[in-house]
Amino acid sequence: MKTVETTSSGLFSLPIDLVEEILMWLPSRSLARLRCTCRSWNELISSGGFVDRYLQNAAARHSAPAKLVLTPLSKRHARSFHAPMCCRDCPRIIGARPCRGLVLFCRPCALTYSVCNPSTGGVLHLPPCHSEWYMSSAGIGFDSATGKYKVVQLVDPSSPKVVGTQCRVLTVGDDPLGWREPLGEACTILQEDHAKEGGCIADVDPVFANGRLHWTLTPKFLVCDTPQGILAFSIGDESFVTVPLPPFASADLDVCSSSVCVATNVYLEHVRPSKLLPKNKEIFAPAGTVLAELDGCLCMVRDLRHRRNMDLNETTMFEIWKLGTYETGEWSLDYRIDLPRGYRAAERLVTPWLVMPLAYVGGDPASTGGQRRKAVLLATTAHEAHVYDPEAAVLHRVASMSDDESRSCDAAFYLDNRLRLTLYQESPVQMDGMEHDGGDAKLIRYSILNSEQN
Amino acid sequence: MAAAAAEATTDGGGKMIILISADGKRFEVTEAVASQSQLISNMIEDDCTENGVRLPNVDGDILTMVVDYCNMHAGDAAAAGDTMKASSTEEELKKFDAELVQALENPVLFKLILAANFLNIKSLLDMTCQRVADMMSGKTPEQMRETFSIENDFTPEEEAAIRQENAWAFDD
Repeated sequence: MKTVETTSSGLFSLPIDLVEEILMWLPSRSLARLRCTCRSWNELISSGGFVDRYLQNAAARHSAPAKLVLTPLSKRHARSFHAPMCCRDCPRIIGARPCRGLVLFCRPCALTYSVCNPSTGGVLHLPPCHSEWYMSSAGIGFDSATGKYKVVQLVDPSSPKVVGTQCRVLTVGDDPLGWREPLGEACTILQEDHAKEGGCIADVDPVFANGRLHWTLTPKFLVCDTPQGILAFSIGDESFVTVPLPPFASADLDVCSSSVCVATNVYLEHVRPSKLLPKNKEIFAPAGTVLAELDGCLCMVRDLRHRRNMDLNETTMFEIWKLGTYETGEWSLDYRIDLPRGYRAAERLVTPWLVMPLAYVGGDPASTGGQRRKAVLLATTAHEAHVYDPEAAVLHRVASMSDDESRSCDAAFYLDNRLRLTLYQESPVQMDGMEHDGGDAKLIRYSILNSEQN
Repeated sequence: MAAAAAEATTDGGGKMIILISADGKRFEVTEAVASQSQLISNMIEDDCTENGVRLPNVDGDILTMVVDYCNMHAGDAAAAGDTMKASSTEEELKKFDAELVQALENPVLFKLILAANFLNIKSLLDMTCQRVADMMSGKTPEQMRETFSIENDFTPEEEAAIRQENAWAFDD
């Protein structure tokens, strides 16, 4: 192979690590063009190691304004009240953050999944799933040992003959194998009584962190009264473990009668459909059961908005707890979202049933305490994104889908429990077979929002 | 002589250091200015700057730019306490930085990158790398090859295939 001439104006006259320093500043579009200039560039840019370093570098630049990808409700279906419920979801990006530059999205009415790199608009359609499902929850993870992405689906089959929740795994780019059973041991939790009650695994998307996909085991999931823990699926060895919940989780669980729920009418605007428990009791879910990945750690959000026994001086709306190690299951308080009572903008966090932290922004990630505290980017099921600044105790709205042309879909928002907002990540990841001109790609690329503030 | 100069102090009380370029040019700067370079900062800590710091990898003309940059940015930390002063300084700094790299030819810019890397001055390295990246973005592969003397070693078939694969990056 001929190498690039090392003239003094040639980029390869620089040591390779400095060449990479330069490439870290390029958007994926320029990197793709650079790949077309010569073999050496093509090899460097498409190597897995380069992609890893590029993404790490971008993540370390906390100061860059966060961008968001949004999947609006399909207008066609939003206008028709007779459209099947699931069609409102087509296509929907799953999860609040990309996994190593890729997001998973689904078309529930067609029972198909695709992976997409929102920064290039590339879409790879995955092989069709095995059978009809009643409820499902899927996520994408990355196995750093093999450099492969895997999509994992938990599914309640629609056939009454099949008992329990099924787990299916697909290695992305390994089509001949298709959807298959996980390699690890079967998970007993998924096979137990759960099927009798009907599924509720579709409520919240799983969260990828530490090489594992995490689902919360909600009470209904296990048909008992308190949350049992977190189900963690290792992308590498494809086995399940359970992780204990932080100590607040069961104590916080707010079981109340439906009349009390109605009395707190301030929360009804975007109220989540109630989940009936035995004895006709309702749970103010998802109190204490929202998982997130922040700075590479698995986190759980403690939701203190709806506490009836809350101290009047209490200003904390959310706490973010961080998991230390899986072995001990130790959790520690990492962050607090405090907003003064009577602060109008705070209402934007009070009414949506789900508030999801997407990323810490600004601040000095290296410093702990003393320095300026980091802000946090939040997405809500009211289809808005906010930046909470702890120094000034203020909330800036940085994105709103209602400002978008999809305002006409407002009516459907009341029925919509999805975030529809995903953190944008500039990423040079390309997969064989990716398409760039499909309708889904256009939809997603079009909707990248810049959340620049000030 | 060099030792005597290194011991000299300015009005501000900062100790002076002599930097010596590859071609023997000498630059006298304060410790505060010089320690923006992590390399020199470490040398100051180890107390081995008394006879001047020889920089065999850095030419005099490049070191001139580096010293100018460091002199300009030495106020960063000091001004941080005073917000009014900091904001005006910040604007000046941005202008200075832009002018420093704007007119540079590639070979000089690359030498500056090498010097920033060798001296370990993170902000200068970031700025110069970003400048090269800015020069790349928006260019076609042909323009990139021309600007950065990249030789096209693809066969026509290979080139057609790779352009096809990355076709999405070409539509504006």
